[in-house]
Amino acid sequence: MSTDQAPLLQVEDLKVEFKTDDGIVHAVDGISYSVKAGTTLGIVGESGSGKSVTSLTTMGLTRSRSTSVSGKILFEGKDLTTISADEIRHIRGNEIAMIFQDPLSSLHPFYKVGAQISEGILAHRSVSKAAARDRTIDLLEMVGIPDPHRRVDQYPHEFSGGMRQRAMIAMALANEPKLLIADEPTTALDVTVQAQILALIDDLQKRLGMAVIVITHDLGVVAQIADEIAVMYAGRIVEHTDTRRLFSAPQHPYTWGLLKSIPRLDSPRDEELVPIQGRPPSLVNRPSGCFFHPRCPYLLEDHKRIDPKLEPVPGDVDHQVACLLPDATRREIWQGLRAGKTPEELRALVEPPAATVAATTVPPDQGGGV
Amino acid sequence: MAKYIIRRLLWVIVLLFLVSLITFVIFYLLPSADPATLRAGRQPNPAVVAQIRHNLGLDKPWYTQYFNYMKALVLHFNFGYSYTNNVNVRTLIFDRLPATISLTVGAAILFLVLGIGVGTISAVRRRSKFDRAAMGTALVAISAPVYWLGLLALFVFAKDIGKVPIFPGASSYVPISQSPTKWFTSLLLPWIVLAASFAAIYARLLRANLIEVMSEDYIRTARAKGLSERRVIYHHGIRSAITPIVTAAGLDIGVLLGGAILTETVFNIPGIGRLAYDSILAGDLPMIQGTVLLGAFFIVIMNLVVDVAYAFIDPRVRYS
Amino acid sequence: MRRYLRSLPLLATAVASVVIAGCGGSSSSSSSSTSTGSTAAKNGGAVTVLEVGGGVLSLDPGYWYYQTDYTDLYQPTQRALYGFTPQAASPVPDLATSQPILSNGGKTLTFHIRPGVHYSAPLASRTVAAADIKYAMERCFAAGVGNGYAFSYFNRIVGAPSKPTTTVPSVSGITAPNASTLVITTTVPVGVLTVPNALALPCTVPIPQDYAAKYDTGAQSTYGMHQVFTGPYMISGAGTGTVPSSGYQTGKLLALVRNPSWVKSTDPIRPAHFDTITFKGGNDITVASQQILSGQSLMSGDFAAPPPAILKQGLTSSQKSQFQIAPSGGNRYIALNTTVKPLDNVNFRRAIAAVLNRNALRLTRGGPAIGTVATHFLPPQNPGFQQAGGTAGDPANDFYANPNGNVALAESYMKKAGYPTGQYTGPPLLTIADNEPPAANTAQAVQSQLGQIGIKLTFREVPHATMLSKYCEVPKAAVAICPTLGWGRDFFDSQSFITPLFYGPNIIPSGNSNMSQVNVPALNTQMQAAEQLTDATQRASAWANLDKEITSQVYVVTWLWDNEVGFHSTNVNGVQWPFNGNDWDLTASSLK
Repeated sequence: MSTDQAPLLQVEDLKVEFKTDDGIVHAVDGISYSVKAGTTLGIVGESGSGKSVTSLTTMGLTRSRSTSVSGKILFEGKDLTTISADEIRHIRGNEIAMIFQDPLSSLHPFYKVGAQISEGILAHRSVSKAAARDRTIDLLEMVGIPDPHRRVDQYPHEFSGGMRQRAMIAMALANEPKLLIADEPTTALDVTVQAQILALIDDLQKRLGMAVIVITHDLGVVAQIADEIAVMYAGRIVEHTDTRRLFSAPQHPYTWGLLKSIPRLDSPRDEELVPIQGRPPSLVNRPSGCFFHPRCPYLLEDHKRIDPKLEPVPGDVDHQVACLLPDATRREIWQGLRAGKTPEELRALVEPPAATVAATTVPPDQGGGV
Repeated sequence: MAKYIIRRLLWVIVLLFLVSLITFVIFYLLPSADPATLRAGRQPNPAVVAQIRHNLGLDKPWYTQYFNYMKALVLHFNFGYSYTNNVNVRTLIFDRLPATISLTVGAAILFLVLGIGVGTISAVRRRSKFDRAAMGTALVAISAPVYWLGLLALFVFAKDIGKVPIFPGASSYVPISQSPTKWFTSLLLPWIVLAASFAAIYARLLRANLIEVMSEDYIRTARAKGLSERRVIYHHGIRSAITPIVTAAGLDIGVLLGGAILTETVFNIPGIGRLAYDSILAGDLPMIQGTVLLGAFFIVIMNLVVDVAYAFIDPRVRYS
Repeated sequence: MRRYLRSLPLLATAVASVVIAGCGGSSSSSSSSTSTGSTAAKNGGAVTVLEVGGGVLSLDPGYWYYQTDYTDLYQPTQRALYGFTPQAASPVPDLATSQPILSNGGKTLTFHIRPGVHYSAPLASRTVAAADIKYAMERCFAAGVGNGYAFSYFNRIVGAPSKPTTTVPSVSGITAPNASTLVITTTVPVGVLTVPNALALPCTVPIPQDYAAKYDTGAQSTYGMHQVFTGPYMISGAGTGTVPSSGYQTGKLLALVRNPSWVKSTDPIRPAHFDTITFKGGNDITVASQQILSGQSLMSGDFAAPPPAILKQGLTSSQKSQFQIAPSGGNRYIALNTTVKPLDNVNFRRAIAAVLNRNALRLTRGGPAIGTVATHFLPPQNPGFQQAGGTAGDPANDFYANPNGNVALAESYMKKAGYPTGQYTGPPLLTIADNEPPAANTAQAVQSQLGQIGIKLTFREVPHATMLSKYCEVPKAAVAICPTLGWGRDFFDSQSFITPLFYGPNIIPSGNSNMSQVNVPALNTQMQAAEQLTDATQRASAWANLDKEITSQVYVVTWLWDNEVGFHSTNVNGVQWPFNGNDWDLTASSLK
């Protein structure tokens, strides 16, 4: 990560709430992050974690009478939460662009692909239709679509899945955005195509110097292209650090759960996958205390009452985590998980002294041998 | 596409044959009245009745009658003569057709414009006062019987019997060749009355479709591109939402071209609808056949038109 | 004339206001006139008649038989041997110069033809000759013309065919020795010819053979579209020899203009005040009624009355003067099929007559304002009405004594018919009724009233044309009761009222008017004798006696003598025409 530039996008304590018939949905509950030009931020989480809402709010696509937004989203100094609808419309598809999960349903089935891309150009640039078309063909070439002169007049259903996503990327890049947001860009694609698309995004970023936010539930995706990763749960960021550290030394039980639930090529054949038990919480009636407590294997009574704050890990200011467990305990547990132990077995590390029956007790915050 | 259209047209011919056969059999086996007796005057000499029956060809078996009818129809485009008053069926039907077409086309334009317009505004301003008022009015318009609505319209707005005399009254229809102005003004009230219930149906339909479409992913993409909301609604939203409307409207227009009986009756527009109804009551088989075949023709053709139009609207639809 | 296929309203009240044009036509021979005050008739102007049905069924004079044909075309556009003014109750010479000159015991009738009556263009230079009337009568026997009464009234002319011919026949009993003389010879004296009621029918409208013969070939005559006119009006644009669509469109329009060839001094019957008369068909009855009452220069056409609500409101408001209500000369009755048990038993039939509440039936059609409760078969204004009992009826017919019905009396008749409890215990009786209101309402009332003496019906409602041509007029259908029937006369002679309905030999397999299937030899002989009477007074008595017998036997239950309700705009002076059921005489009506 480069540290000298000012961030392109800075989100400060963003809260987004939706009024619904069932109550108030706390989609995003006070998150902060920033992205610099030329870097890629990955936002990881389950559905319902609030990861998409953040980006949609950045684009101004959640504005409505039943939505309330507080906090700041600063883009090149402007606060996107308070500018007028016209102003943010000028930014959308222009300086900030977004691509979505399912390229087939994200493209209008009745219009030619080229026309849809040109449309985005003509909305923000006063150029002739012919010029927009030329640029569209260039874009299609840039994203690696073969025979762009023919493809530009085809319809979305005539493209393969991977090509459609490339076309979406072309559409997003049409006006040379400074920030590209990719919401689950590969989820609807084949595994083989996934890698290509991610490589493409990566490549384009380097060439155009954009900032990129990749939103996904798939850790494999962020491993490939993100520089830093924020893990979201129930509308909050629960862990935030650079990619290498997240994978080598994660500190949040949720992150552990995510990592342990993906199969790895290098794990022993008979090692079981360990999914996270339970389900994502309701964003209307959230659990008390730590949001994750109903599903955390390392639960203590206090965790039901106290709400952890996102704080730096002792000794590492670029690694933040929101967990009530002591830092040392967390490291121990992770070691144990890496060694193949189950959460049930590792629970013992967390037990308070009064609960243990064994004669020898080891104070919980004195982990040995990390 | 051409092959598809040709195939469909062949089916049209088969279908019309089938319709004519079924109609013939129905009215032969279950005739509603005896045309020979009706024509024979009061207390007829049985020889007179027999003579009339012979003249009309009614004394032959049904398949012979059908064959003769179809022969005349296919070879000479001759629909026969009315049992009631001996008029040439083809002449009378084609004489009345322009009135029905005038009524249908005008009403169709009105109900499409009104229905799509109101439906769009309602969908975009969901739950607003306009939406509630529009949908409420639509419900009334759908429920109101056309005949009653027609009478109401006349008693309120007709120049001769209305309280607020604005429009020409019943029986004021003249063909467009006679006087375009009179033709137009005489049709205004019938158009409004006929279009009312259809406009209501289409408004509700479009509203529902548009609401659904606006939650589609490609709408989100369009907004993400920074397009104006107006362009998003019209270029992206309505374009998708309108396809079921096209199908429904095509079929409705096909049916209307077969004659809008009640509207034609209350406003005394000399169209096919009233002709069909009167001929059924009188058991006038050649006239019944003529109007039924014409109605069937329109419905089947409009079906084809709609299917072909669909291929132009939705590029994913391809006929081979 | 045959009443058109529609339901007639019934008119009652002592107020029979028949308004006649002040400057009326010349006086006719023996007539029982019904006149009240007079209003000044304005010459000129245009009038529009609004019709609900399809208007005339044919342009061919040989085909005309319905009330609408007579009102729209016969009276205004053509002249015949004899005609009727609004005041006349018996035929008035029109093309003939006098009543028929009888000889040979009434079997030879000689007529002198009025000179100087011109045809319209393209035969404007020609005048009517006797041979033209001969040809016109002869063509009424041809199948291609489709006439409905020739075989009933002209069958006794010497040489008349016994069934329709494929070409126009030559009838030896009709001769034209010279241009101004017509002679008809019959095999026996025929009352409807000697008192020339049947010669006032349109078969005697003159038609030149050399002009018309080419149209009378083929299966269907096309003369109607090419006819020449003798009356004060003609179809607009027909002077070319072909009726254009601006003059006539089937079911929609009939436009009449003055006939330049008509000379008023030769016509004793028709004042002809209007300049143009236009008929518009296909109207909706509610809308048209409102238009007529609130508009100008409009008259009611083929609908018997406006809808009950409008009628009621009209009669109780200032619009009252726009209505003209007069007896139509017709009645309404319920046919009882005497070949279906137990309707063959006269006491059972009398029980039915006794239990029916005729006032209630009248209410279904609009109440006392539209009809007189009947006490015997012949309606008022028909010869023999008074002799048959007049309005009060014969007291011997106790089953008609109480217009509200008499259940106790009905039960006593039931007992006499073999039902000891006074209630019917047999199988349900097949009943076919008209499905359109108000007839349907009447039928339903009959059904519930018959239930009071336990009579159950297999009750079906069908369209009017179906009811007649497939059920009630078809003996094979074996319908027991037809409750929604009516009958009108052909002319002022009760023969046309009684013979079709009660003469045994008239029963035919289809189109049968003798729905009760009465075939009593004594009655048949009595009717034959009456037909041959040539003296008007004798005829009236003879038919009155037949009416008495028929009423006593209750072959049908006659429950109403109905009226024609005509109405018009405020600026119109409508004159009713008793000959045609008191429909309008448009040659006598005018603007005010």
